[in-house]
Amino acid sequence: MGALAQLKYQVRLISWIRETAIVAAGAFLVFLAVHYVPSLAGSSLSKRNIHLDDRVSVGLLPSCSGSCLVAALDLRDNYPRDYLYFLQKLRAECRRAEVNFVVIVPEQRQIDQIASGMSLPVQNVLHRSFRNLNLVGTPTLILLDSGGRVTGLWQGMLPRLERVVVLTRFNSRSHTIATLKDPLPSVKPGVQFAPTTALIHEITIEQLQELMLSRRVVDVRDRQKFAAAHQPLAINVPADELSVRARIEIPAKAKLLVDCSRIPVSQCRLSYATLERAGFNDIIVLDIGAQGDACGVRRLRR
Amino acid sequence: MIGHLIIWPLGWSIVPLITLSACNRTATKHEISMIGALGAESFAISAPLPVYPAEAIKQKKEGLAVASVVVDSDGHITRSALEQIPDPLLARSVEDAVRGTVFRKLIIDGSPATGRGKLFYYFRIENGHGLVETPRQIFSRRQAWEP
Repeated sequence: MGALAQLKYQVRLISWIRETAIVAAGAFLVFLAVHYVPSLAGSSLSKRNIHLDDRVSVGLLPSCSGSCLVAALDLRDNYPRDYLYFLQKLRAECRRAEVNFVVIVPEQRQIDQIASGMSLPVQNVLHRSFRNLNLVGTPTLILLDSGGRVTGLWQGMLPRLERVVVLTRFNSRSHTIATLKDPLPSVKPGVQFAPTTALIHEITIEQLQELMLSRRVVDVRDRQKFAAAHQPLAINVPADELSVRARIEIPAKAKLLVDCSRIPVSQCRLSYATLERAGFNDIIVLDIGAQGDACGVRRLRR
Repeated sequence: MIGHLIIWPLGWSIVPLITLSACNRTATKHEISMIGALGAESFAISAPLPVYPAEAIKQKKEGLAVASVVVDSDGHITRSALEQIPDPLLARSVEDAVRGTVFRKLIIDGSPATGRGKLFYYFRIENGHGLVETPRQIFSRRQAWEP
């Protein structure tokens, strides 16, 4: 009888330990979510206009001549590729609107990585303590006016719609956002492209439709992505098949419109170079914004 | 008993970690991307053509079939997959042709390498006859007609 009672006690003890472990694990996860997931931690702060003195210490943010957009980034947090692309677009918009773009990082060693990764001058990447700035989580975007007042604050991973709002803050021509990818080094040594910024032409949706009717639209993404969504009249030739299929399936003197929307610049350049090598000499690259409501075209030239 | 209780809450999370670390231990090799004007075909010693099934000709099923292949250092296909097929009627014959393709030995800097590439087959019907062509045949046919 005594043994049975002891067994019952042990079973109760095990179940108690088990429940305690589950509760502790749950509490730990909630703690992690609140403190380390920036979108949860900072969602209530977005869109709120606040004074510099209220949230961040004066002098700790970089002094900008004129207005300034500060992006607080931490490479230890993994940002998705499309968010980095958004930052590149934002930087280009800032340049266009003559707003200084500055990145602050929490560690000295991240400066070079950020500067080279985003093609930023090293003096535009600064090491600052996020704790002193009262920043919770990254990425955080802080817009300062020329007097140093915070006029915009976006914290955490922004949803796509919010990104448009941020971009349009710098660009009033919301219906014709240009292609804003920065010139990157060419993918193959020996194939050098001129900086493309000067060759970008913004176009309207009507002009895009005209282009699509007058040219062959080639979509170089893989089959699954093409099947999910593509431009009307587009033919799908994945980038790694272009060297074989382009000369067989596309007439030699065809005018091409290569759809490079939502693909890496390197892949776009590779496709362009392959088509050029295959003998096509009238190629325009199309780059539609992530929201699908804005577009631009560019001619790449060697 | 106590040890078991300590490990128990972590038990399920440890299993995938152990599995992952085991998977990462695979040896790395040189790999050749068999890309070019002819695709993987330019690396092939023998490349049989698929048979055009009579039923497919009857139903006028034409188009491009693409198969991706992974090749070992001896030139044998170790893995293949159909990426595109004009019609399921043609799948079997394409698979047979891919299986029968033998590549040359792949070597980089004196050491054996694996290869990865794609095979292309164009199915078309001309005057009621089914024709299957590879990029090599199409290019050579065009060259014969061009000055």
